[in-house]
Amino acid sequence: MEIKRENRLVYKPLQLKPRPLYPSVPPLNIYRYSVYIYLSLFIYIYTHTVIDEEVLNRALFGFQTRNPEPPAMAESSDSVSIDVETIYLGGKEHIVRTGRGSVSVIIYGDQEKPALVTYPDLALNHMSCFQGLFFCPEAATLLLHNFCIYHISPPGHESSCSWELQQFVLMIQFCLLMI
Amino acid sequence: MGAAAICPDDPVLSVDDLTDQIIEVLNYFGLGAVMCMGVTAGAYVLSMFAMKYRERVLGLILVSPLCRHPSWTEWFCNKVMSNLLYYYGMCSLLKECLLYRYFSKEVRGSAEVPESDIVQACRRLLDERQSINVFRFLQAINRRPDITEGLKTLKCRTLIFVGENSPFYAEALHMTARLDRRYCALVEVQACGSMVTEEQPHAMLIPLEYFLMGYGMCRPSQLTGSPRSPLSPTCISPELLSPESMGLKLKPIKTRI
Repeated sequence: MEIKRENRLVYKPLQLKPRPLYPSVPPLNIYRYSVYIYLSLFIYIYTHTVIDEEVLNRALFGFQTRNPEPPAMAESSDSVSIDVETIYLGGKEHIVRTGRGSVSVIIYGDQEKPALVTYPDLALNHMSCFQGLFFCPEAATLLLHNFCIYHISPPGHESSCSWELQQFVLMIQFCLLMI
Repeated sequence: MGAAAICPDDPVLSVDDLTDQIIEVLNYFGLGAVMCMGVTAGAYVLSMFAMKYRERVLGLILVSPLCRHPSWTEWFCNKVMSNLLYYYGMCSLLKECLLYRYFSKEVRGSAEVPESDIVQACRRLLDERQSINVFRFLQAINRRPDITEGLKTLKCRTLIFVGENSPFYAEALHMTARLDRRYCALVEVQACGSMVTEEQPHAMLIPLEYFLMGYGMCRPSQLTGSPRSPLSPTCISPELLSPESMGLKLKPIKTRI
């Protein structure tokens, strides 16, 4: 028996139109929105954690990066404008811009009293060098009763902000780059 | 990010520049004569400051001070440290060098004895330092001039503390010998490294108190001080103020005047 050519079963692969992968290449906007989402998330988290505004400012516009050579220094040896104040574990941090770079000074106590200036050793600052003495209650009462303490840090040795803050600043910079 | 890395184009500051920074800070805050307290390199900077601006310094409290050129061993140590800083940054070997400089063997620990809390805390704080900044301060200190000659001209009272196990012990003795004996006192703290402020702050208490009494500064009275303070005059009679009776864990202190 002959099989008619017409009746022969022919396996035909299902001819489906290939479904377009949606969207095969996402439009650039998607990246852009994700950045905004990250950004707003981080801003939300960090504004709801307690960060001193001044610390943030200082971290964002770090004072130690290349001193903008104040022209006034040529004429007088007196220091020129500064004033970044930060509450730092009970001490107030001032950044004094001198003719030879910025110096971080942390002040504890009543500024009416005579001054006691401290200077730490190599690679240390007041936290790692004088903490033991000032945490000793008898010494702290003796010194703070008589003096206002000025902790001077050698250039580049001031205590840094928290690690999280650094991450935050890096994140912001990264986001700005992406946008 | 307070301590960002200093731009490498900025000129390296000498110790002279560091003393000038201090005077600018004092001028900024409108301070007249001040009391100064420094540790090792800081003590060197402050004693140099006291020599340059004699009228601005009331007194000096120096902890393991330096005054001469670096000795051969110190010079070698500093060279090793600056090379490590330059090529490897804040590596563990460098931290060991620095801890050797700061602390005595007892607190640094050994195979049997674990290192103490202060050393661990210091190690953590050292991690935060930017190696280039430390490198620059180290260079300034390693190139320091000898200030022995100027010491004789110092007229302010000086109180020197030195740990017996400090690498700068000889330096402190030399400095005391050169200072005017009428104005200077040396306190040697036994079983202690360079950083007396961290290792044995209690040992500094009584000498500091006597030193400040010379300026007519009193210990806090009961009204202003904390009522628990053993320094309050009404709490304890003065003859009981000797270290033994205060119940502090004091190691014996030799005092040379």
